[in-house]
Amino acid sequence: MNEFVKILLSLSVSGALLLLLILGLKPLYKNRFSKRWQYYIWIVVALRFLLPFTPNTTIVGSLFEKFDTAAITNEIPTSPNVSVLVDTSNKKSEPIQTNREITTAAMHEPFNKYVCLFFIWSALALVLFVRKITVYQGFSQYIKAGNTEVSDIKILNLLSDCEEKLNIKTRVELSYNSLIASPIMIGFFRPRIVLPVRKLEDKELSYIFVHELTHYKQRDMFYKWLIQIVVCAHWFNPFIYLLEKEVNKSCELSCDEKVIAVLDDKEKREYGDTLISFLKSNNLYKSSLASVTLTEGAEQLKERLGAIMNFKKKNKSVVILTSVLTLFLVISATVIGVYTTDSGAANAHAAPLSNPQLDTEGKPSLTLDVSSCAINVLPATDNKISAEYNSDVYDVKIDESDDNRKVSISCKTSTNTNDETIKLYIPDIDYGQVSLTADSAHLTYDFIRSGNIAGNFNMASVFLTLSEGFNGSLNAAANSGYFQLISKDDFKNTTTTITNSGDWGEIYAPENFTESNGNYTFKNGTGNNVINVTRKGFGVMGIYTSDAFDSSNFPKEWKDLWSDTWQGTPWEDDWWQNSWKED
Amino acid sequence: MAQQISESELVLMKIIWKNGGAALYSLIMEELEKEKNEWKNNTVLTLLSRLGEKKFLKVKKIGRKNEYVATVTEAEYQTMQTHSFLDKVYGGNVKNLVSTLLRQDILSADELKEIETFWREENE
Repeated sequence: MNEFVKILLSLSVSGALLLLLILGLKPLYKNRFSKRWQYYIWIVVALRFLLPFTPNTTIVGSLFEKFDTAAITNEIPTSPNVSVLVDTSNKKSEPIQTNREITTAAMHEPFNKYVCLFFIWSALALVLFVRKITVYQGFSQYIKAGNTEVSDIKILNLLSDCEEKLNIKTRVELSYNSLIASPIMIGFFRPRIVLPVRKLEDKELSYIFVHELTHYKQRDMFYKWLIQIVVCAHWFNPFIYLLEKEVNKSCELSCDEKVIAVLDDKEKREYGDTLISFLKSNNLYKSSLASVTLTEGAEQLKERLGAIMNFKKKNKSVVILTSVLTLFLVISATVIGVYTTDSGAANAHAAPLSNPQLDTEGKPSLTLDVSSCAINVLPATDNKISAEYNSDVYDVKIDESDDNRKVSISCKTSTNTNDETIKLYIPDIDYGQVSLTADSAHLTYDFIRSGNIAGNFNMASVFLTLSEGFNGSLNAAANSGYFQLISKDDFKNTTTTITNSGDWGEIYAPENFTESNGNYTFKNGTGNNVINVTRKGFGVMGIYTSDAFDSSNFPKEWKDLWSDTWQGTPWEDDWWQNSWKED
Repeated sequence: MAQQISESELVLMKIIWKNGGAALYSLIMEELEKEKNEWKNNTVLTLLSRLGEKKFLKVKKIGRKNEYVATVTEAEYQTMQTHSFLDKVYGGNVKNLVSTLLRQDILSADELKEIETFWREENE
């Protein structure tokens, strides 16, 4: 639930950012680009508000993580709207280093708060949307009740002419209505132009028809309702009402532009006169959302008249500039991005953690990337990394250049039966950055004494042991599978957080850990060694202190899984102590 | 009470009745041209579809062409209209209608006699 709230908020922020960007660029395009472009560009913003598609690293996505981590360390209370917006202003340009897997503040918060937020949001969004629909229905019924069909052949012929001119195939109904003062068009699929009851000149009528039919041709009703959906979903965002206003305004401007493209100067003036004549009489029934009208307000009309008189055909360079800016804005929309829940794993591969807890200066780094294999890490005797493995089955790459030690192991065959365990010898020294990645693999590594460890485990069984006197940090996410973490000195001097974001499965944690909503926290001594572990997907996680750990505690199904799937031999309670260290 | 047919709609209905109660769109347009009516395609389509909504016409698809079929005959329509007119204007009283017709010389005495004879023969 909290993830949903976060995605929604990040959509809101990224939509608002894009909105402000386009508004900010307005002086650049206002008098140069076509009104049509200025109208349709808002679709990009509307979609940014609605769709949580995003590339891996994005501005808003990172902002939300920053916000999350800031909330952990500074205990900022979550009042999302305001704080997030403050964040956007000063952190936008900073390089982004924070890793997504860092446990979020939100996860410490009581679950109820997010359920509550979610219900408030959805209830209001629903009420708003239903209200908009009923207002629209009420309006069209009100109109229907007062309608008299226009059967004057001359007027119908005039409408037909306009339809032909605009190449509209759908038959458009035409009626009079004494309840309205300004012509409108209603209906999505069976459009109907409604005229007020008053004497209208043929010229006036044809301008009205062309204007309303152009609305129909531009599918403005659908656009307006798309915007209404965005407004309902983001009702809490003040910028959304700015978007609504801009779209309504540019809708009329774009429509006018299309109408006058074929008119000469005299006709333009006449068209303007027609607009003015309808402004004088106000509609009896106010509803700007329900339909597309001819005129909406005096202030706006002034802008429209100005645009009508200044209308110029666009030349080639403007067309090119328009395409360039469009491309730029679409790219911006993508780059701004949103917060997502699961793109973190992809990120973590690329970016090592920056962690303030341990000075990594001068210490070698270690990167271990394994997939589709079983590996037992053993201490190397000669300060060199080496491996014992079947080269027919496995592909092992060891790179010890600089102080950047990298090992990557993968399986050559597509069906690995895991019938042998690779012995990987790694020097037991102090490391700086340590990156451990295991995908569909078995990994035992039980002598880590130092380092900022980033762990990403996917469909893997991983057994990590932090040696006595461990100095550093651990950030690990285990997505489906088994993850076991043992601290030989019982999490001394650590701030440990175990987060449960997973579905089916369980977490076993030491008794002295504090539990809240399935998450665990523990603090001891200086608390300098920060350990964050997150469980995702399906699977079991076991967190043990040195003496409390006893493999006979394992749940039965995991013993079965171990013997059937992983090892193919019967379960032994002390296998993990003995079996890997036989030689 | 059935819905009213507007004047221009009646023009179309008459063409269809004249053609035996069914007509293709192209034929309707031809007839309109003969009568020197300059009606646009969409105008005619609008009127035809209004007649359809009022259930005076049914649309039959013949391949890609539409045939418009009248659901009432001209006589039925006249009866319907007469009743409606009588009810509305004369409160259903035929005597008042006839006396108006006579007084305004719309109906001559000879014509009235003719009607009387016709009526008697019908009822014998």
